[in-house]
Amino acid sequence: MSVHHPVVERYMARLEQAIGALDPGDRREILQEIRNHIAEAMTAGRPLEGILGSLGPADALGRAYAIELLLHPPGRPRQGVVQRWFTIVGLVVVLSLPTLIVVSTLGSIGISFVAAGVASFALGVIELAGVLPSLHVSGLPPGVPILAGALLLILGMMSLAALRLYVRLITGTVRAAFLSARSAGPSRESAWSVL
Amino acid sequence: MPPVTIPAPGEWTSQLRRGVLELCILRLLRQRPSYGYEIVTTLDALGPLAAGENTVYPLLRRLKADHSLETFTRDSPAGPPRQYYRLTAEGRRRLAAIEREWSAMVVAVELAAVKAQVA
Repeated sequence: MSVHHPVVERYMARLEQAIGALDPGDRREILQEIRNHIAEAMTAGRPLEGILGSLGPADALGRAYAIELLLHPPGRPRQGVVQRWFTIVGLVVVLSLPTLIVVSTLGSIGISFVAAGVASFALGVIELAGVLPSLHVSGLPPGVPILAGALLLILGMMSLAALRLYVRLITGTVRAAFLSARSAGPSRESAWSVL
Repeated sequence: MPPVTIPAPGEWTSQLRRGVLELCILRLLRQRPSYGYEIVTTLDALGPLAAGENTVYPLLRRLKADHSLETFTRDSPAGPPRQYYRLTAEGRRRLAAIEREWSAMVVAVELAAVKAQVA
């Protein structure tokens, strides 16, 4: 039995207005559900006035829906325990090769450039100061090893900084996956605090 | 000193009902799927759990939004097709968690009464 009574239509129009802020899919299903409720109750022999009275004012019903859906936004569906641990293992497998390449490349560049930079800078300064008159780094003027040393030092430090950033990113990702796998309780507070 | 307002017994029941309603709906759906009108009328017949459609329907919708319930449509012998609700795997986990909390709460309430007698 489909109900198309003017009073029902007025009620449904007000309800539609009251849930206007909700997602269109939610709105459609809510309106259908309330229409079904009215039809079921009328089939059961209840008077229309009593049915609408029991549903309460359309504005209040719409507010109740809005409170439930807007104040308690849904969380993401949680994965099962096995799936979550598979995610971690997959993450480790996928990240291990790039991590090996990035860490070894940035690490070796960083350490060798910093060491070479410091050495070159120091030798340039020693030659410039004439502390060791017998020391001749190259045929170049002493300013060149000083500048080259500073440049190498900067490049080495940048490489180490990039390595640090990468390690932080990776540990953050793995930690987040690990924590989500360990959280076994419900994602939201229970009914006690919600209502 | 501000005046102390004591909630009427009906108001206390209403607050308690709001808390346990989610548990009751999940329990009702544990064995088999059900549609909105049937859920409302079943709760209505359970005395203190008669929460009213304007509480039950929005709660059903939220349980669906947070993936505890899912819906499907099935023809009705009389009237428009019915929207049935059934528990998801997430809903079963949630039900188990709430039931643990509920059991602990019931035990604690009873213990409070025993302790009061002993003291």
